[in-house]
Amino acid sequence: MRAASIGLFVLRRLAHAIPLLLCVIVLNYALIASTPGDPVTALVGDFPAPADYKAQIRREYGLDRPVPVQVARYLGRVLQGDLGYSFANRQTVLSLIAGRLAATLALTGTALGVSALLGVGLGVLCARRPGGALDRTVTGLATASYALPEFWVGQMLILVFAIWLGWLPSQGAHAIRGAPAGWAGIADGLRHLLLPALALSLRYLALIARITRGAMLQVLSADFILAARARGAGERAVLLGHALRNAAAPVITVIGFNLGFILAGSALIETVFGWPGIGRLLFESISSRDYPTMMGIMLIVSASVVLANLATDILHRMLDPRIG
Amino acid sequence: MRVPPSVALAAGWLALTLLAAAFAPLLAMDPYAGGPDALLPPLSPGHWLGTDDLGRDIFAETLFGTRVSLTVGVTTALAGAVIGVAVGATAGWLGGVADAALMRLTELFQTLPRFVLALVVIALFGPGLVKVIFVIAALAWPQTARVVRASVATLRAAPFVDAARVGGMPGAALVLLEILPNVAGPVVVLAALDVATAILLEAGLGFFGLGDPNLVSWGAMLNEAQQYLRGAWWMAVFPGCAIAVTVLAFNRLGDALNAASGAR
Repeated sequence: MRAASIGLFVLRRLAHAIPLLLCVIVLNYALIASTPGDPVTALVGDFPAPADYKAQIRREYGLDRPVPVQVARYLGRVLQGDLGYSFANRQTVLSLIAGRLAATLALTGTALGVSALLGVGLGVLCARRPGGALDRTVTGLATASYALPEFWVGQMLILVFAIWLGWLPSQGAHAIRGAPAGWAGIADGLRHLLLPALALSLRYLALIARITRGAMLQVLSADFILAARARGAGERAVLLGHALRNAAAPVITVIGFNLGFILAGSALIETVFGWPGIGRLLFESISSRDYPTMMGIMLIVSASVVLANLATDILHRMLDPRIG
Repeated sequence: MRVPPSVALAAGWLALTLLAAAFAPLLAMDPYAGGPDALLPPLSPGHWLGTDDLGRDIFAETLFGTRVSLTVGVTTALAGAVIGVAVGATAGWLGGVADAALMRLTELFQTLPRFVLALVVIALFGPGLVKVIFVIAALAWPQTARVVRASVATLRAAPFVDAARVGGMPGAALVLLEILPNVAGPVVVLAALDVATAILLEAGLGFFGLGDPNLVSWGAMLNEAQQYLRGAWWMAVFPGCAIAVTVLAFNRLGDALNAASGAR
């Protein structure tokens, strides 16, 4: 019964997410088609591309055909994994993005991991003594971090730790002369990762700490906590064993639903730190008017957000079966 | 009612930025005029916040930057509130298919990564203050729509609405005069927070080089500062502080309004 109802839930969420995904693709095409001037520019990029190449693109995407045909063709191509060809890079957009994926995953993954671990930890500690010194400090820092532009935080970290103190590198993902081999290479990578990951995680760390604190406080006032305490459960067991487990659902939701903001933030952070990921590629494609790459990144990021929301919904449901 | 000191500070700062935006030409020199004195550090004679790589006065640029930030922030928040109320009230009042369709649209807009979408639109359609305002406003309404829809759907069947309906009031008037005044509180709160979000978004666009090329903005200043971090920290520090404090002030105001409307 329970397994069946989860299966049904997943199907229902899929029936919700798939149309959303299609809408995202159609919207992408609507943007391409409504660019001022010739829409073929948005498909080729703003270059002196050969006329017969442009004619070929025009034919392949059916730009001379009615709009529904154009949309259908674009949709068909994207669903087959064809995000177009970057004339500027002489490479398909998909392989271009795939080549940058690892760097972005390393950066966003580290930032998310750090903010989740530290955020939950701080949130639990704050909930233990609401109104205490730590709680007030974290609240203050959280309020401030919502107001700080992430890319400016990155610039300030570069100023302090790379330029004034000279402790850490300010640009790139590895040493300029190429990454050293073995452990030294890993250490070098981590040194390059530290500042951008810190700049990117600050806001989510604060957000997750606030959400954890709120969820913990709500759970801690529940009867079953009182019962656990009455049975003589230790403070640690109450906080981690009973309360945190029940506070996990809202925390996971916040992490999942913020993936889009993290990816957007990483576009800015990667640009500040010269980090060779998708965000930096987005900046490069905008600067060089390489529109197919730009639109491909837009699609990938939007699709990731839809899928992350889907995964979050399902995970949430598994943690808290009361959700219908 | 007692006003907390942090709220008074926030309101004071916002009043100050408003004055700065209005009277910038009287308070500082021409922010577009370069000179031979490039990259002067702060506290230099005549340039107390220093100058940038083209010899432009950082204080003047920061002061004039309030104009873009406040214009974008306030107009997009207002537009977002109007669109959000219209969509939310329509969905909540009509219910049924219209409600479902409008809420799916809202969900689509809430899912889209706003910053990336704004970047792409500006990159395709070309930069300009009006376009920036349009894009950010087009992305700012979903949360308001959801809140308004929820309240309208609940209040639709409230006794005071029924009473007005029995009294012969037509549907549109019922929504406008009887229901919407009740949701004004949360809408104002969301609008204040939206100003803050819009200022951050505009700064990000400016940092990507997609702001209005003919106007000084804090984001564009930070874009320029990026190449001079090593030599001229003041180019990055002052505009960044201006953004942070202004956004903080709008957030604080939003929170205070929220607390005040919740206390009633």
